[in-house]
Amino acid sequence: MSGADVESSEIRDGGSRGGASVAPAATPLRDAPRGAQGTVRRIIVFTILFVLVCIAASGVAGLLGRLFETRPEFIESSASLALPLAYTLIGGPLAALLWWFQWRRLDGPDRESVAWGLYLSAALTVALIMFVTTGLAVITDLIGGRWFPTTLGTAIAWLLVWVAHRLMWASAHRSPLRLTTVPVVLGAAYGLAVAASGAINALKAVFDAAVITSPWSIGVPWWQPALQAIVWTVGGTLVWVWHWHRDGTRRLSGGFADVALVLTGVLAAAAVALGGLGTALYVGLRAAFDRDESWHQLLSPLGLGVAAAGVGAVIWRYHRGVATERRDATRNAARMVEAGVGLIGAASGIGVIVNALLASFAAPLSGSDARTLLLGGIASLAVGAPVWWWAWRPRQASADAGSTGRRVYLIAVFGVSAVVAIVALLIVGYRIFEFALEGGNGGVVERIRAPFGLLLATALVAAYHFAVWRRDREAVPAAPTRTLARVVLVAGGDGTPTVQAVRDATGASVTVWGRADGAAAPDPQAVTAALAAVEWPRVLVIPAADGTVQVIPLTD
Amino acid sequence: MDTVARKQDRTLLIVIATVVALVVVALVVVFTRGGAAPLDESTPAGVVQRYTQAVVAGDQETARTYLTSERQEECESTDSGSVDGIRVTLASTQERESTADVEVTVTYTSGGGIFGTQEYGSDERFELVRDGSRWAIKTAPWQFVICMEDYQ
Repeated sequence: MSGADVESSEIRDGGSRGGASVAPAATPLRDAPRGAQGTVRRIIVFTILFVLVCIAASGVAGLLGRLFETRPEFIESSASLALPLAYTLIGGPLAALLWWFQWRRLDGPDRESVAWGLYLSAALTVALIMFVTTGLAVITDLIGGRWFPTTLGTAIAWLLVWVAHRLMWASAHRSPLRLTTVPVVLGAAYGLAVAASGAINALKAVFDAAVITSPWSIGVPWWQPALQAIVWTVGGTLVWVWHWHRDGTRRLSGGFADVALVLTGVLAAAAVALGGLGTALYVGLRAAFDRDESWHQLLSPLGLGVAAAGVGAVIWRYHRGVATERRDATRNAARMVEAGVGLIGAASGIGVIVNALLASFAAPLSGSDARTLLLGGIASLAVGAPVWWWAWRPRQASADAGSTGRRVYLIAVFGVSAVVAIVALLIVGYRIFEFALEGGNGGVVERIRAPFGLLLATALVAAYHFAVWRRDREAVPAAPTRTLARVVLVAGGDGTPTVQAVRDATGASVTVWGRADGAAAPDPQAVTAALAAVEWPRVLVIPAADGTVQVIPLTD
Repeated sequence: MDTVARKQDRTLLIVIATVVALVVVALVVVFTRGGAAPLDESTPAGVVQRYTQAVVAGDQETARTYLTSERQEECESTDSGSVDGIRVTLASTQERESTADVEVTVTYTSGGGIFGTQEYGSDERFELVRDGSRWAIKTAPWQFVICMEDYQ
C-alpha cells in the first residue's frame, strides 16, 4: 500500500456497482506513475476523449432524430445531414480509437489516476443528465401534443453513452480506484433535484387549480402541467432510487458523500422548505392585513409556496435523519447549515423591516404604502428566527465550542457579513453622494433605506456572533485536550495490522507511506504504545528496525 | 456562569430586544401612518399624483384628463406598464413659467419568501406644461404611459 489513505476511501463502506457489490477499491493501490509527463498525458487524453464522446453522441442524436422524423413537411434537405454525419463518422471512430488506446492501459497504473476517475464521473454525470432530461422531455411533449424526434434521438444517444460508461465503471479490473463514488453521489443529487422540482410543480398546479378559481378559462387544461410535472417526479425518483439505494449512496459515509448529503439533502431542501413556508405566511399576512389586490393576484404565489414547503420539508426531514446516523462532523455540519439558512432568513427579515420602517416616513404619491414590505419582512423573520434558534441552540451553544463545524460556521458568518456590509456601505455611499451632487433632490432616506436595513441587520448578526466567537475562544483552552486525529505511518511490508491497531487504539485516520528500502512491517503493539500518550492532533510515525518508534508532531 | 458567557447572553438579549423593538415600532408606524396625502391639484406634483393614482387604479379615463389637450385628442389607449407592487415617491419639483419637471422615485416590491422581499427602484421624470389655467402632463415615464403614440 503506497500513499493510500486508509480512512478516506469513500467507497469502502459498501454499496453496489453495476448491481453487484460495489467495488471498494479492495485491491491495494500500486505505485502510480508520478511524473508530470504521465499526469499531463492522462489529462490531455481524457479531455480529448470526453470531447470526442460528446461530439459523437451529438452526431448520433442528429441522425436518429432524422430517422424518427416521419412527417415530410419537417424533413430538411439532405445537406442538413452533413454535420451529424461528420460528427458521427469522424468523432465516433476517433473516440473509439482513443478509448481503445487508453482502455488497454487501464489495467496498469493509469487505473488509479485521478484523471480516469474524473473522466468517468464527468461522462456518467453528463450522460445521465442528458438522457434523463431529454427522455422525460419526450414524454411531456407527447402529453402536450408535441413531438420532437431530435429530442428522442438525443435521449437514446446519451443513454448509450451512459450504459457504456456504467459498464466501464463496473469493470472488475479497469474501474477507477479514485473518485469512485462521485458519479453515484452526483446521480443521486441530480435525481433528487429533478424529483423535487417535479413534485413542487405538480402540487403547485393542483393547489392553483383548487385555490385560484376562475369563472372561465381557455387553453391548456389545469391537469396537463400537473401530469407533465408528475412525469418529471417519477423520472427523477427512479434516478434517485437507482443511485441512492441500488448503487449504495445511502450507505456511503465520509468525504464527498457527506458533503453532497449536507448540501443537497439538508441545505437546499431546508432553503426550499423555508422559502415556501415564508411565501405562504406572507400571503396569509397580506390576506389579513394588506388586501389591496384582487384575491387572484394575492393568492397566486400561495400554491408554489405550499408545494415548496411540503416537498422541501419531506426531503429535509429524511436527509436530516440520514445525517444523524453518520459521523459527528456530518451531524454538526447539517445542524450548522440549518442554522445558517435560518439566520439568513431572519437577517433578511430584519433588513426588510427596517427598510419598511424608513419607507413609512416618506409618504408615497401613489401606489402601495410600506405595509406590503413590512409583512414580507415579518414573514421572513417569523420563519427564519425559530429555525435558527432550534438549530443553533444559543442557550447551550457552548457544548460544542471549538468544534471544527462551529468554527467554520462562525468564519462563514463573519465572511458573509463582511461582504454584505461592504456592498451595502458602497450602495449607501453612492446614493448619498448622488443625492449631494444632484443638489439634494428628493429624500435621502428613500434612496438608502434598503441597503441601510441590510447594514443594520448585518451589524446585529456580526455583533452576536462576535460575542459567541469570544466566548468560544475563552472556552477552548479549558476544554479537554484534543485527541489524535491523523497519523501518517511510514511502514514497510504489510502495514495493515498496524493500521488497524492504530485505528482501534486511537480512532485516528491513518495514512500509510510505504518504505522503498525493504524494511519489515512494524510491530503494531510498539506503534500503539508510542502513540498512547500523544496529545498532538497530527503526527508522523516512523518505526525503526530496532523496535523503537519515532513520533513527530505535525502542524494542522 | 463565567463573565464571557454572561456577556454573550447579554448580547443575545440586546439583539432580541432590538429586533422586537424594531418589529413593534415598524408595525405601529406603518399601520398608523395614512396613505398618500392629497397634494394641491393646481400644482405639478398634485397633477402627477392624481395621474399616477388613476393609472395604478386602472382608471385610464381619469388619467387621460391630466394629459395636455393635444395629447388627449390623439391618444389611442393602451395598457400601462406593470403597476403591481409599485410605489411612487416624490423626489423633487422644478416649476418654471410655462413648464415643470416632477422627479419621482418608482419602486417595485415583489417576492416575500424567507430570503427577503425584493425591491427594484429607479428615478423617473414627468414633464408638464401649462395648458390654459392648469398643469398638464406632456410626457410620462414608461411605467405610466397610457397612449400608444408614446411607444412609437
